[in-house]
Amino acid sequence: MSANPLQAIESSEYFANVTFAGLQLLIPQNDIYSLEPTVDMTPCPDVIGTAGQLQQGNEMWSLYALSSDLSLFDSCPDSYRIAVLLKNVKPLYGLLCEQIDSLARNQISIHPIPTAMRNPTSPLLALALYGEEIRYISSASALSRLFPYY
Amino acid sequence: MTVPAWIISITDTLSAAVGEFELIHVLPDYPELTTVPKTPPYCRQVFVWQNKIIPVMNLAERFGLETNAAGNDHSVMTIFAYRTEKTALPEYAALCLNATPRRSEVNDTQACSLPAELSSWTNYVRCCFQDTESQQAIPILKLEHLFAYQNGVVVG
Repeated sequence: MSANPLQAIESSEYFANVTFAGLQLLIPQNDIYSLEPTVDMTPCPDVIGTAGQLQQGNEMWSLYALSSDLSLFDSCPDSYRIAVLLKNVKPLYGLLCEQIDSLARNQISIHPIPTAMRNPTSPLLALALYGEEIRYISSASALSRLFPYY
Repeated sequence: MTVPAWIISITDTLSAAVGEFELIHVLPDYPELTTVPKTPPYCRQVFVWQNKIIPVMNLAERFGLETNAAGNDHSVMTIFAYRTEKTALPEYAALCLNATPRRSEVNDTQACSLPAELSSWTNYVRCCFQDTESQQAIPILKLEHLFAYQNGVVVG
C-alpha cells in the first residue's frame, strides 16, 4: 500500500471499473484480489453494515453494497451479482457490484477533485475522464472509510 | 478610475460582480451534470468542458439565500477562471445564474460598504459598489476564495 494514495492511482497501469447504482468507480487493479459470484455469499449478522460475507481459503471477506451516494445498503440488491474481493487492506472486505470491467491508465485522464468539492471523509481520491464520461477514482484503503468496522 | 465588470444574478433580488476577464464562457445549452458523491451540498455537480472537469457551485445554497422555487427553469451556466492563491495556476468553476450576465462599467465613486445581511460573505468579497441601474449594493466576488475556502479555511 502506497503512503500517497494519489501517487498510487497515478502509477496504476490498469483500473477495475466497478459499476453499481449508476456509479462507475475506478479502483487500481492492484487492489483487486478476485471476483466471485454473490451466490457463494453467506449472511454476516455480526458485522454492522455488511450485506454478507465470503470465504476464500482461510480468509473471510466482509461484503458491502453501496448506493449511488456511497451509503451502505444493509442487504444485497438483486442486481448486485458480483463480489469484488479487495486486498491491500485489513480487515479484508469486498464490494458488491452489478458489473465490472477493466480500463487502462492511458484510456483515462486523471483530474483532482475540485477544491470546492473536497471532503476529508470522502473515499474519492480523484476524478477521471473517459472520453466525455466522468468516473470516480478510489482505492481499497480509501473505500474502507465508508465502513463502520474500519 | 472606471473598470468593466460583469454583473451576475444570484437570486431574484441579489446580484454580484466579477472582473471583466474572470467570466470566460456562458454556455448556450445547459450541460449534462454529473453528481459527485460525498461533496458539500452547495457544490455537488460537475460537467465536462474542453476536456476539463468543471465544478458547479450553487451560491444561494452556499449562503443560505432564499430562491424562487421555479427559478431553475431559466438558469444560465457560466464558467469563471481564477488563479489559486497557493499555486497561482488557473482554475475553472461554474455558477448557475438566474439570468444572462450583464456587462457594466464600475467607477471608484460607486464604492459602498457591504450590506449587513451579506456579512457572511466578507471572506469571499473584494469590495462592494452601488449599481447605478438598480441602486443595489453589488459585492465583487473574490473567486479564488469562493472556490477554495470551506468554512473560512483554504482547502487544497
